[in-house]
Amino acid sequence: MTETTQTSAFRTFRGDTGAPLDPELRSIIARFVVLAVLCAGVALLNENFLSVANFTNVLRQASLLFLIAAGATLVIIAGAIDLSVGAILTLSACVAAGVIHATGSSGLGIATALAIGVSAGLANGILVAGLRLPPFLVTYGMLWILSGGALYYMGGIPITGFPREFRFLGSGFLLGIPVPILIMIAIALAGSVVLHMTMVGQQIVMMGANRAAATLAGIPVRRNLICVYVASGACAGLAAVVALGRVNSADPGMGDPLLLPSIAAILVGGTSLFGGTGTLLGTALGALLLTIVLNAMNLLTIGSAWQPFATGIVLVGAMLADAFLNRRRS
Amino acid sequence: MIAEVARTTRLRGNRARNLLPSKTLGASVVLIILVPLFGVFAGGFLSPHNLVNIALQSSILLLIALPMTLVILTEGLDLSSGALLSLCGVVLALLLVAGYSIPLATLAAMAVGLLFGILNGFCVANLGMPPFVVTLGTLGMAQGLALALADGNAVSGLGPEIEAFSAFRFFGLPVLVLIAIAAYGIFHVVLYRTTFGRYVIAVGGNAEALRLSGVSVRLVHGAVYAISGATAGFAALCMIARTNAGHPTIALGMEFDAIAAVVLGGTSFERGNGWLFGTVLGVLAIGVLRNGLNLIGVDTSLQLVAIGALVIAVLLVERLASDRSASA
Amino acid sequence: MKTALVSVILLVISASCAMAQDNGEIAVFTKNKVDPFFEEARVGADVAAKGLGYSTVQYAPTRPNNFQEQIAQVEDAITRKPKGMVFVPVDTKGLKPSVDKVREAGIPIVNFIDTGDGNFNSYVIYDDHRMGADVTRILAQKLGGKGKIVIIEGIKGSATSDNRTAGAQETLKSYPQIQVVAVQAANYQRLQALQVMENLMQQFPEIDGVIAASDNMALGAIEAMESAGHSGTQVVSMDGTIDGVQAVAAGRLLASAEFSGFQMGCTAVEIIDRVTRGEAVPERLELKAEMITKETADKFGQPLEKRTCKSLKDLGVAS
Repeated sequence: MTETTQTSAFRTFRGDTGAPLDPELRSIIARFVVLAVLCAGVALLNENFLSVANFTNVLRQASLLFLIAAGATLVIIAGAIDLSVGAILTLSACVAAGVIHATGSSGLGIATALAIGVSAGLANGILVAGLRLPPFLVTYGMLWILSGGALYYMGGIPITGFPREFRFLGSGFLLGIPVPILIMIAIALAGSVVLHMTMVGQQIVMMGANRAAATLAGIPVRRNLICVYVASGACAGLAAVVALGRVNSADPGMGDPLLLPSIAAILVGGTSLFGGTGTLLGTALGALLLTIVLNAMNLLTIGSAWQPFATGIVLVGAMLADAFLNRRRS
Repeated sequence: MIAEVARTTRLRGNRARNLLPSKTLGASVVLIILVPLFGVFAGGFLSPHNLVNIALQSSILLLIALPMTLVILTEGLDLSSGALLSLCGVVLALLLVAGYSIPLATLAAMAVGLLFGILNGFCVANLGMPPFVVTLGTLGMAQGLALALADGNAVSGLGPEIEAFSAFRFFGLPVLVLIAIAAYGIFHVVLYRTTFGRYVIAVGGNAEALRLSGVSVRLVHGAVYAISGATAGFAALCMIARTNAGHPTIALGMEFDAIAAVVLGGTSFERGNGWLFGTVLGVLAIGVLRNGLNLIGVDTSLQLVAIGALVIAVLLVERLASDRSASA
Repeated sequence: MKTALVSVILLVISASCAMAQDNGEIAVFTKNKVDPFFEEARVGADVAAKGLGYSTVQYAPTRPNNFQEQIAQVEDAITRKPKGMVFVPVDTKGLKPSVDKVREAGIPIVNFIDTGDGNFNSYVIYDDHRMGADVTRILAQKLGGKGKIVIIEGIKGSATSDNRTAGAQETLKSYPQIQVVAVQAANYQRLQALQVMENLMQQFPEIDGVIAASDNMALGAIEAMESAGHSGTQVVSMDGTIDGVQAVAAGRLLASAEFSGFQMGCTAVEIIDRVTRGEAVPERLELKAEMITKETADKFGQPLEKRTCKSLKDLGVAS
């Protein structure tokens, strides 16, 4: 099939009615609006919210969440899912920490974290795409295996203290902006370019929209699935470096609490679990939205017990809003 | 147009697969391998005392996995079961501390679970929202409520009735095991012997036919989530009996274990094919693995790896088996 | 595939079978394998057990602090018929039925670290309340009796955290010019404490002192403050972990309190040994927490491999 035929087939998938605004763009704009309203609201309630320092904190916390979720967004768009991202972060961070302490080399540490992320992603990809096992349970099994691996490697004791150059990615500043935020922007841009402007990106979207038809159209589904899982693992590995830089310590429990919030960020950002639609910008906005809600709760001294409640409400709210937006069109 | 083709293809695929045996291998294979292995290497594994322990340790997971089977049969999943169990547990515990009787407190807990279940069911069936998202949202809400109600601590001081309840044995079997067996019986009858059960199986496999025959698919679809919620409320009673307190975070992650048990037992996400007894085998497979590893004294980290490896190994076995029967 | 599975299992079994020791086996239960504090306790128990001729088997829930798992592990351990058990409960109230089962099986069981409601043979703990009080006094004196402070708790509902916080707050009543502007929990996690501190610094631009229920969390809070360029806030905490002691020696942490999991592990095992030999044991042993300050820091924080157990005799307990 020629390129143009694939693209027009793609348009038919998406049910493109030629409406003035692409549905994904509408959803992004809606989220920007919500974000702006939320910020305004919180700023009215608490004067510390809009301070440079607080906003920097929020952006930094959101960047970590975004990084973990970035690769997984691609996996979900492709019609699969990755439940192992938190565990990949944990294992990458722990082994990288050990390597740095053993060799003193920051470069080797970063390379280790990325290598482990990529390998774990590769394993996921091979199991899902090559052996055609169901993604939910496969990545769930990998979650256990990688967590166990990290626990075994660490032997119950965290590793603390990393050299300044290594910590740069997590707690450094470039041009006055915290580095994690710059990394978030870079990855969001790069990922969006790949997703929306390259052949592979379009193929990923098609695979998610309708796997059977995509295979019939000649798309290398297996290769692409492996690629997105590798991307997910690599992002988790990068997030591990940033987290290590921030906290200056590696322990075998660090990634666990990050899994569900990362999925929430992806979903709040407008990516559909059915696959076939979604953006990295959306995930970034989702991560921001969730982080701001939690930050606001802290500033307004709402008990931390209510934080999971708030996350749940934001999630359901985002879904209802999307359902409402889309219903009006049809 | 292509979507239309895709959908018809799926339906046709369904009918073909209904002729093949459902994937029941997974959990059975696990048990067939592990039981003799542990019998030899884990001292005391096969003793009646230990076997009862395994049943006891698996009982609460079974209570969550049984309704999960129904939900998965409708091609959904309920991620909020664990959080609901914890929330209902906190509610139950608070009521017991306030002096209400066990039956009354349990009914109240089930009502809370039912409420959330209805919310889940409504959003999934009537609003068409994806179950993953809805139940993830309810997970957060239930978790938050549980933490807030319990003020971060476990609710304890439940009184002697609960202790008596949990210590009750009949024919040497602890009350929780009896409850689990009874629950299986009830779900079996509901799923395979009632019209409702037939509708549940149909929703996953062939919803169109159901709709055409005039049944409210939405009602059936939503009802399974309501059942899941109410059962979580009842399971909360068992959890309280076991841990003697209402912990707001006790069952975190249990829904994932239940999903794994259901799928390992042969019920699949995609096809609306399922086997209820397979869920029992799946739950037992997990229970046997953990128990055996504990008896041997395997390090925690290796236990984690073993559980993950088990899941993936079973998936591989099932894939090989279905490939073989597909080409046969 | 199946042969691979079987070989892995066999490997795992042979790797975890302890060398047979003369006196039998002691089962050690900790809350998780994530918090380094429990590693100290496990090592202490191992060292003491080896010295007395026992082997140990370690149990910790795969999901950290999961009480249901701990109950199951106790039940399974009973089937192994160990000579004794050393136990820190995930839940200090709900463990009673499990402990009863252990006693019914004729196995002695000693509670260490967190006091639990059960029919234990003995308890080996520190006075968390006094610990909180003592470090708070050091902080209050350093602040000259006035200022704004925040308290970072551990896991709400855990005995150590609640008692330490209570000790701190009671002591502060004697310093009316010190104001507690916030009390927040960070679940003993370093990253969480870091983020909590960041948020608190936004809310309260002036924080003179921090009381953290554990060194791990204090270090998270200190990270947050140092990255923000905040200096001058005094931090005290408890536990006396290796990291914590280093921070005290370096002047980043004002003071900590020695909460030696290692020693508790040692002593608990020694008490089991006495029980199995029919000797008398103290019903409850409260170890004294020494304060770790810059002057005294070099006495603490030795790497685990180099530590030795103080015997009951060293601790002044009559035999």
